[in-house]
Amino acid sequence: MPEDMTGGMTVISKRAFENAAALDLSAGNAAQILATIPARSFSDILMRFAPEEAGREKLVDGLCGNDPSRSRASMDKKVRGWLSGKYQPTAREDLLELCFILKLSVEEADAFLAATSEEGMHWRDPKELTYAFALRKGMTYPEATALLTRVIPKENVKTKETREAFTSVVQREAAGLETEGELKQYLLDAGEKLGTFHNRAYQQFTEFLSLLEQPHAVSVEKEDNFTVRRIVETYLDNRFPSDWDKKKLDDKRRGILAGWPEEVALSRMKTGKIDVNRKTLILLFLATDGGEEITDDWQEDVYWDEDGEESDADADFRSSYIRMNQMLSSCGYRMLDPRSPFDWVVIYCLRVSSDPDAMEGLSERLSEMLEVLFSASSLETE
Amino acid sequence: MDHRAALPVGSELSFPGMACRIEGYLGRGSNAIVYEASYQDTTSQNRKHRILVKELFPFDGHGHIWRGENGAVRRDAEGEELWRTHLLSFERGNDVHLQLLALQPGRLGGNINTFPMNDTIYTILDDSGSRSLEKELAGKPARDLRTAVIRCMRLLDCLEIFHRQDFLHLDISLDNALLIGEGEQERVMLIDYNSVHSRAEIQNKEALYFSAKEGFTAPEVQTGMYQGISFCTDLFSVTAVFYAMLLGKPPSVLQLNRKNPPDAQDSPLLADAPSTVREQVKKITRRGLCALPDKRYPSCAAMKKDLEELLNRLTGLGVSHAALWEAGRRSVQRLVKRNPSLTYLEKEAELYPLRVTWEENGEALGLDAFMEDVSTHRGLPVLLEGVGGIGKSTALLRTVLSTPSAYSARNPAIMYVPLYEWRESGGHFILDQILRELRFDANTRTVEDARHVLTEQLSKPISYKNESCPALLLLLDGLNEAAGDTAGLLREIERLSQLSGLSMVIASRVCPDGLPVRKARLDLLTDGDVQTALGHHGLLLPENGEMRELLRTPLMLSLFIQTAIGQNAQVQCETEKQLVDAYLSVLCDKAGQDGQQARYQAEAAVRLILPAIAQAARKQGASLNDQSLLSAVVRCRKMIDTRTLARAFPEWIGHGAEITGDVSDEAWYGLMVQDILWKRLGLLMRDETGAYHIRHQILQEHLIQLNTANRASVRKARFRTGAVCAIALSCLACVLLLCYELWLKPKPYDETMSALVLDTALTQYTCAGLQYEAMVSLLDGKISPETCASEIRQWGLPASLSAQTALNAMQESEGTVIPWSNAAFDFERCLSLLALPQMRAESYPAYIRAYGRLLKDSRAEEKAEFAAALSELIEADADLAWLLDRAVSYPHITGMQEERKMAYEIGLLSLPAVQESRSPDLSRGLDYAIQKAEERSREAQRTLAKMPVIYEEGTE
Repeated sequence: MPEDMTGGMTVISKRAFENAAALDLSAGNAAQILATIPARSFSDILMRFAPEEAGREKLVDGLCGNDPSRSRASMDKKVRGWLSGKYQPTAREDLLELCFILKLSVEEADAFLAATSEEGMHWRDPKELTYAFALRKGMTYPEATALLTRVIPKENVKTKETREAFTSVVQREAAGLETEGELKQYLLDAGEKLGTFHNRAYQQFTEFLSLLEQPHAVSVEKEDNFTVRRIVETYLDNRFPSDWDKKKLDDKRRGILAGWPEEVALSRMKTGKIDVNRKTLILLFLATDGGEEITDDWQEDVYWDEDGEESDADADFRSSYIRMNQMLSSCGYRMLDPRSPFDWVVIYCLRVSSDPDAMEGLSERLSEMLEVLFSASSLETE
Repeated sequence: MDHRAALPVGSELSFPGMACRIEGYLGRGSNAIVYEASYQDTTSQNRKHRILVKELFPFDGHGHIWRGENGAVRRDAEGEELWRTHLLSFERGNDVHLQLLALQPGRLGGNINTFPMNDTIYTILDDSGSRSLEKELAGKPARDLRTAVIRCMRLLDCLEIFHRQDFLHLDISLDNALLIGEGEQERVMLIDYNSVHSRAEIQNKEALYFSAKEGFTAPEVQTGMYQGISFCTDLFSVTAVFYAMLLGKPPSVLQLNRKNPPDAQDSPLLADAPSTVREQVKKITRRGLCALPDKRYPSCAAMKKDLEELLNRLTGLGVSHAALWEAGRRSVQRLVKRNPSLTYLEKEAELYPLRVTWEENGEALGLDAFMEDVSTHRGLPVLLEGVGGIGKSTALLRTVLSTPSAYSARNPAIMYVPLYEWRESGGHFILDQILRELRFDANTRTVEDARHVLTEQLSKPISYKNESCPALLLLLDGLNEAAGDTAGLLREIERLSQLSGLSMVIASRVCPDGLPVRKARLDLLTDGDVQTALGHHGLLLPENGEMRELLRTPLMLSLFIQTAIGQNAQVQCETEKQLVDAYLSVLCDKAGQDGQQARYQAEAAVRLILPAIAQAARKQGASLNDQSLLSAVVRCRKMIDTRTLARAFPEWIGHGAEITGDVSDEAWYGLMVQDILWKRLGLLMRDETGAYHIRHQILQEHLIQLNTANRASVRKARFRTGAVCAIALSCLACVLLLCYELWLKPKPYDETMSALVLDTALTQYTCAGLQYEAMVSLLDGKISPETCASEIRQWGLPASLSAQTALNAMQESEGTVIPWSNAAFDFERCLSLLALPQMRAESYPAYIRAYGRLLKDSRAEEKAEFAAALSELIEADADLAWLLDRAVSYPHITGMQEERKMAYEIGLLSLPAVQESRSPDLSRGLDYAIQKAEERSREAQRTLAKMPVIYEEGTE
């Protein structure tokens, strides 16, 4: 595997990556390997960002100090669960609170959030923008929440969130705010630019959806456009177990399914009622085979390769990997982490077969893998 | 928010030796603010130097770095780290700039000096009057594609300076590319070196500071895959700049996330561009913007090479695969557009099936599969055989026309070259035909250079992964039509077949001996094909077996159907000749729809002129142009007005004026050849050089026969006309003859007497000649005077008595002419000639004796004088003898019977050459010449008579 793909990874991550990217790995074997991959625990992340602060006592103290009404015993149990890897906080607010408890800088908080959730600091979200200001000023969590009440505009001044504003612009502007007054004024003035939604992700989402809505361009019979339901059924919905059975799943499988988009969520994303999340974006990337448009020109030459030493399968994988990371990065999301079970499956799916007759795309790989992971027979063996 | 306060206009910065004044604010970046400034020239106080001043002033959103009093840049403890980082970056940018300037002083803007002041540092830069590319474009594409290409190449020239020193710029974008100068002098400069890193620093991850600009930043920078950062990273950004010049904005992140990189095909600059240009733009953008670093251009040189090729495709210059592809399609499209007779090629659905069978294994293929087979299997050239009219030319032309309109670098270019124009040209006819379609850049000056470049191009097959195919598939048409000695052509074919990038298909009726080829054969149509085609037009299959077989040839089938359509009836023909005749008639009828005159003119064009053209072409062995055809056509026109042609073509009687019209010869030529035969009826084809040839060889053969028949008709008509005249003349001659015979005919002399007299005249002439020879010998000292005198007497006998008697009798007879010559006889001169030798025998001895005395006495002076006079005498007498013979015998030599003539010639053998070879002047007539000779003789005699030696006594 080229050095540029694994450069910067730890040894464990590199091994996990190489396992996922092994050539011609069957879905069955992949599922077995997945079971052995040491998933990155919350505790690992805590230790990475604040090795000194991440002691159990200090965490419990911090949590109780932020909210005296919390039961210490209850907080202690929670923290023990975190540190043992049994579970991790999923609520965004909990993660933001931890940033204050761990006394992270803004940049560290950004990376911490990215590592523990789908994305780093969401700069266009007024709340998180305020929290970033508070972190920069060295405030505590209670001070930050109090600040929120003072600076967030009371009226809903933004009449319509524009999809044209991008996070990077807001991030630059917000970095120059010095006082509470400036922050408040900025939140008032920059109303339309702010919002909780990832605009770039939404743009990418609509592009993927438009590809999936139109059936194969060279089909002899004219087919109607796919509906959202059909898209989900065809590409995203598989023989998932019932809610009751999901409880039987191990952490890895549960993690894979968490936040899986279904028809309602997808429709709401399409209409802009809810934000496009990272998992949906990744799944649509796989479903569209890396965003490939179907054309009549089958002689399309994607890669320029004078020597012809690298196979198309290898080049395809590398291209898909780098483009997916580029997409995630540009949308403000965390790039692929081979120690995340879901991301590991994604990396496996990107590695299409080297056999040209197999006619295997990313979407087919995903279907196969999900079939293996979530079939009734595989659950019975759990 | 950026609260950094810029220095106000008018601020003074007193650098050592250079007091600068801030004139304006230019812009700011993450670590600097840039101003326009000036300073006075030391010597010319009223002159200013214009400069740029770059002030280190890092942006710190926390306010830890700010402008203090007196313009100083202040920082507190919390801003110190940021300050240090940017200071390093600022100084490094300057360091790189200076290093590169030292190597390429003219290629980068000047960096004059750097000074510490105001607790910061200032760098003084040249103000080169530049403008940023971003402002130049202002959100729109460049003014034209060529400008965009050249600017991109110049950007690469600048970037190459960095790469040569192993530096990467890593912040190439529209706002960091400046344009300096205008037009051809314009160059591109890169600025802002704050992100410049060496490759080693990147590999070691030392002090990495990257700028990220959407659309310009390569994926490996954006995703932190630093191991992939190299020259290709900068070239990604350069391609993004090129893309922005094509579309007015860089590629979007969405576009870059797709599997296929954006290809800029929707750029308005490509709206009217040929396919080869569009494909090259696609290649450049796709390669340059590829997500994988190692698949992009590895170096500035590699990208420049593709940009140069793009420029060549824009201008149509150069010998490249794309140029050959373009030229091949273009030449056939022009040929078809120019010749109405070829428009059928564009109606693919109406073409008859073309099938080819390989001779080596009997495999039968459709035309497309056959050509694909030829393209993919390198080897000997392929000879495509077939009888006349079977569709060989159609197959080749159709192959070119059916190539996809979108250029592909992975398939062979295809070119069609007709061989009927072949002529010896140093063994490069085929190459030169290809070169004719191409244009060349400044590096290719001579034809030889061009041939070399083309041969090199054809020596390289197209290779893609494990497959290869020829760069060019060359279709040579009509090997059997190449006239003259084709040894040179065959040698060239053999030589070209060695080139690994070239495959050939040669169409011919027959295979020339000794040419190594693989053979394939165009098959005749099946009965089913014929029936289908006829049935489509409601036509019946002929009953005649020969005709049915004939219709299996596509040309004949086509003529059959067109004839039927033209006649609006079933065709009743039984032979090829009848069919062609009927077809030509239909064409004339079709022309007749425009009126009677048009009909007759078409008839004349088809039945008289075209056959003459066919014959002329056959005779010349090549196509004919307007100049060479004009005279033949004008001759035909002249014939039309004559009664001769009216007899040969009675149907045109009374319509000659309609046919010839009242126009000049050139205008009539234009009507007949260019308008009717070429454009309207499509019976002639015309190529690029303006040369015509008959549409098909079968038609040509038929027309040549027609021309032969026309000539026979004309001759016959002429003969008939001449015969009538001859008869009339003969009758008149008879009457005259009768009159002549009865009253006017001269009477001949007696033949025997005539012969005797002329024989005697010859004898006497010969004797006179022998006397002359003796006198010459005397004067030359070859014989003695005694010998000479003896010979003079020997040859000085009088004419025989019988001859004299005969002469008298003839004079007294009623005869007036010599019987065999029918010419009058010159008696007077004959008498003179007969008496000449005797007269010399009487007069010459005295001269001889005198000369002898002079010889003995050694009187040199007297001798010379005497000899001259004597010589004059004998020359005059010799001329006289020659002239008398001319007058007496010469007129009667013609008409002599063979026997007599032979005797005469035998008699002449005795005549000395010195006598026979005389050439007196006859320009004023024989009589005058004789008179003059006599005068000369008399004069010489008088001169001699005055010499005393004559009178001296001497013994005999």
